[in-house]
Amino acid sequence: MDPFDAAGAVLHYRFEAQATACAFIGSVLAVAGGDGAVRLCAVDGSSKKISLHDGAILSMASNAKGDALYTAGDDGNLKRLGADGAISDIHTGRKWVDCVSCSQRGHVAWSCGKTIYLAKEGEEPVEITAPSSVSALAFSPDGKWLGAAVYGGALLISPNKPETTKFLEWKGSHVAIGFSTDGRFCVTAMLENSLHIWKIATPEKHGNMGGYPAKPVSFDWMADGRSMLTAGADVLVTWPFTGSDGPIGQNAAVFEGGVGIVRSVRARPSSRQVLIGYAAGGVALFDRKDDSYGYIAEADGSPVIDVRFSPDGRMAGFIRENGTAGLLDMGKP
Amino acid sequence: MTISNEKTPITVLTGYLGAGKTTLLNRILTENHGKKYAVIVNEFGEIGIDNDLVVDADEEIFEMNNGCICCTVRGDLIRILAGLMKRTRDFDGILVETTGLADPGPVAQTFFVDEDIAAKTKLDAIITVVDAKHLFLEIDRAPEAQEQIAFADIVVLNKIDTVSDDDLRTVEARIRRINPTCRIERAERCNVPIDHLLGQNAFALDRILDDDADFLQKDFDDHDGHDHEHCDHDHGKCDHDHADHDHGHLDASRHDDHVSSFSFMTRDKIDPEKFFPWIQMIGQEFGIDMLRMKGILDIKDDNRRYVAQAVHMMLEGDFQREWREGEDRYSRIVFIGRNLPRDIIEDGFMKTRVTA
Ligand SMILES: [Zn+2]
Ligand SMILES: [Zn+2]
Repeated sequence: MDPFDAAGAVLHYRFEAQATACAFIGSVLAVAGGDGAVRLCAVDGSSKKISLHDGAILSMASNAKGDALYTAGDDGNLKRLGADGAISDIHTGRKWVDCVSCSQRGHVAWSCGKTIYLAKEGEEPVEITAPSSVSALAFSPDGKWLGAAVYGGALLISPNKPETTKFLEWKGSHVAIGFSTDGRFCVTAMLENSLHIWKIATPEKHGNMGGYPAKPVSFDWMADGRSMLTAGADVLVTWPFTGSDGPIGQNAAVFEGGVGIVRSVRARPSSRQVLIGYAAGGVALFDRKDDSYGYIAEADGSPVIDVRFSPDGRMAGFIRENGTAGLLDMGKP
Repeated sequence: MTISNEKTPITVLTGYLGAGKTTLLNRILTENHGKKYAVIVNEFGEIGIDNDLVVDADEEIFEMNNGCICCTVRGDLIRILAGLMKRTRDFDGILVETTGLADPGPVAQTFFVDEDIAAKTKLDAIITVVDAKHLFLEIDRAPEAQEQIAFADIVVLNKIDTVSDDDLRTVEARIRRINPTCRIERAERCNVPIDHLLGQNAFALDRILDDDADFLQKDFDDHDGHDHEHCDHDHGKCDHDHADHDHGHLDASRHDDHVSSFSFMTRDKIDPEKFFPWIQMIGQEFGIDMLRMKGILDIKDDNRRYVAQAVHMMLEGDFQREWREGEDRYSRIVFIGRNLPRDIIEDGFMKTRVTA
């Protein structure tokens, strides 16, 4: 759709708590808050507040089936909020639940400090102890690995055989983790404003992608899997995933024309479009078809900490740290 | 609701087990000052903390810069502070208690390194609690205690009722030799007024060496009598060889000290083209042993005071307020570290002066 029409069609929300995470269930944008509540923002402009935690929600994920959200709280609880409104306690403990992630194949994983819990949805979890506190969790799209960003590298755990692990080593503190669409590469963001990549089958093949002015904590792959989009610079930086070694030994491409440092990026499913959230609060839709930018939300000074698409690619959503959010129906991709 | 852009102040409490750190923590929390604090405690804490918001930390030391042993941060602190910053801000500040033997370096460096932490929080002060008697007896055998004093903005000299006045003066002189820029607060049962501890802004550049005028008076004139003399000339005009005599540049180093300090001053202008590469080089070369550095510089062709500080290799600096009309303009730089080569550093610093 035309970005000018799009900007006018964005539904804006303003909540009375910081936004900490967001996820879609169906076409509903769920926004997690620093006050422990989730707000469900619907396409009719309504929003519904559901209080879940006594404290902040630190992380949130929606499951593959699209019928539940998992919320991780600093009250030591992991909760499941069903699309039907049912709330259940999945984990109760003393330590903060720092991270939560869901796989495409019905797994859910969460972490409390160094302890990782991994379960099939609805089943009892197994516990895995990481070498240091876990900063981020993510499953590979092919479901082969659960990845944990830790100090000194990435810990990979096989969801079906949790005793099978692999440690991808690189000195320093790793703060975000993701996998290429084909599941062959693992990527982490580091405290030192860089990304690190390993070829999982042959981890001695690895590389560092540096030179970012800010931490590239957000990254994603284009729908066709042929390039990785990264935040952390005042241009959109992409890395090629076309050769057998991915971006290792390759150069990045940059797309100028944004509005300041990119804070969050997401590729639209079945499309060549990219949603970009900026550190200064603006939100842009970038189209690889003609490399054009269209702005769908203006900068308001607060960082856009996440941008998301609904699984069908129809709905776009974003949240800013200050508790504002936006939802846009873009039509079929 | 307003989401404040004001940075949340962080106060770090260090000190040996038994020195009174937890007593001080509980006093801060229970005293009626109308402020609420989140508390990050270490897992080996002495006794319970009575507070709504207590977070347990396991001191995780992370090396940065591809494994440099001095460029370390507290990984757990990054995670916990980031988490606390997500909450609806139901507290005014954060207190961080470290374990007895903890090195405060990584804690301080966390605020230099992590831009997200630095955007939302500020290190207010490092407070080191020491037991007067224990310090008097043990300091020579306790490098960790010396380092905790070296990093301190405020040393709470606790349990002064357990030592004689003479011993107390000896201990204070010893603390001064390690760290000439800290403030010493004498206490019996940690009974220091809270407003002497919180809201210090000790790491704000515009507060660096703020008590300097005071310092000049007190320490140049009223010298505590150890075995070197002050020369009464301005070093800028000093024409003798500095390497082979021991005149007093507020030199507090002694060979038996693990951690010591020295400072240099000059009324000559500093040449920025010489100073900045030099201080970078010092950071690279001696960063591992340089615990803290603080400096105020009178840079040539600039009417503002340049203020710099460092924790190990991590340097920061900026121009601050203008020199006042009639103000005594000088440059002064203080180094606190482990066996730093004073002669080399002095020689290097003096060479950054503008040569006519
Ligand atoms: Zn270093
Ligand atoms: Zn001299």
